[in-house]
Amino acid sequence: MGCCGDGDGGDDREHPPQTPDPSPPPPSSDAASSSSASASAAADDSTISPMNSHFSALACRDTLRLIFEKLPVPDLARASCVCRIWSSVASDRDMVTRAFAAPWRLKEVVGVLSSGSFWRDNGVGKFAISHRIKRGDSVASLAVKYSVQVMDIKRLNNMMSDHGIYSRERLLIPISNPDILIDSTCYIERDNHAKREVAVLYPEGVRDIEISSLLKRTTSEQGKKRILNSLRRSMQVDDGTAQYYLSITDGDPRAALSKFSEDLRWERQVGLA
Amino acid sequence: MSSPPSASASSSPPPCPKKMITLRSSDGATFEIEETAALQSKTLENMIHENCASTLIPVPNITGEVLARVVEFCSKHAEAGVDDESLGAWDEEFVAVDHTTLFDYIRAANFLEIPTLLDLGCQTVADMIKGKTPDEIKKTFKITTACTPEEEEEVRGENQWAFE
Repeated sequence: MGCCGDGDGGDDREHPPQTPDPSPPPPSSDAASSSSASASAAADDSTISPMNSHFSALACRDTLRLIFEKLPVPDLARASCVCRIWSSVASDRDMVTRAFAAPWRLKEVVGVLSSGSFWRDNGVGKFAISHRIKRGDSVASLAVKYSVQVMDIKRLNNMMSDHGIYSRERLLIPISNPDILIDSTCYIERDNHAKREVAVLYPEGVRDIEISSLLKRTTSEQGKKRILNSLRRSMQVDDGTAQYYLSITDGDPRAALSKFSEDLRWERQVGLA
Repeated sequence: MSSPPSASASSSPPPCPKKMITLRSSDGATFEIEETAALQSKTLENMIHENCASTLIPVPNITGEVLARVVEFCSKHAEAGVDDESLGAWDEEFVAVDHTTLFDYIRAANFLEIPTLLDLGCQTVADMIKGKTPDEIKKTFKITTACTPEEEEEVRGENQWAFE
């Protein structure tokens, strides 16, 4: 690095001023000279000169952003510990996502996180492939298929034994070849078995979780309809009213009924019913 | 095709190869720069295209000292027939300066919108930051901040692993 040592910064103030500076106001300064001093001090701040550019460049968010974009993840993490404004720029979602994805050349990272510390480490251990368990799969066969160690699959999925994988919907497989990540989309998920947040890659490109949650949603739609109908009958009201009471009690029919009778009582009290 | 040898206040519409633009720094110093070199700066490029460049361009935010070096940079990068390696070496020497000057360049490049200089400056600063602990960074760039001890603890806690 060609930068000079620390001594330079301290010398700044001793350098003869490049821009015309007023001499320090005498102790018995009158209003005129002190106001002109402060005026030119303000002007100095906006002029790029050896006198004052040092800190303002580092306090400018745009500049900081450009600088941090060139930092790898560990340095970005350390930069966020320097001071408040650095922390704010270095913890910005776009900034950390970009730094996280850059070395692996990911196309996109999707997901909501519980804590920002996930972004501070982008080692290959943060990534995994999601493998849907099919008939005939075993840990050993998967280890062969993905060129990883049986031990590593078991560790990642918190498996005590080699068996029992059929009780799970999927297994997470550690990444053996990072090239698979290039131009891919990763989903940040908290895996229940791994008990931590993982950036998951779906090899078929289709996100299984989305499909299964869609399925769940449709069955509960049918269930919701049933609840609505029974509520309607017991309250002896129209669809809209029943819908309203269900919605304010978050789908709980018992609570909906009690709220409804409460409201009825109030109406009778004030003489509306 | 003849053009005035040093036309500091050229008002001729057709662009001539050796057309010079004059810039004036905040402290009144003037500098001449070839139009091709000036095109490195998006700010100046816009002015040239809108024909405001026929007269002196004041650059009120930059002092003469910094502006001189910026002009030098633009001229060097506008030169034809310079291979990448020697240009890279020239760039390295250009940024081998103290921090204050380096930040002067960055701010000037920001103001004048010179992507090459901005990139070079920021990369140099990034290289300075790499590998340093937060305390070292603070010392290097003389950042004295108003972080309360509690805030510092909080931030450190989040990033504890980075200190190992």
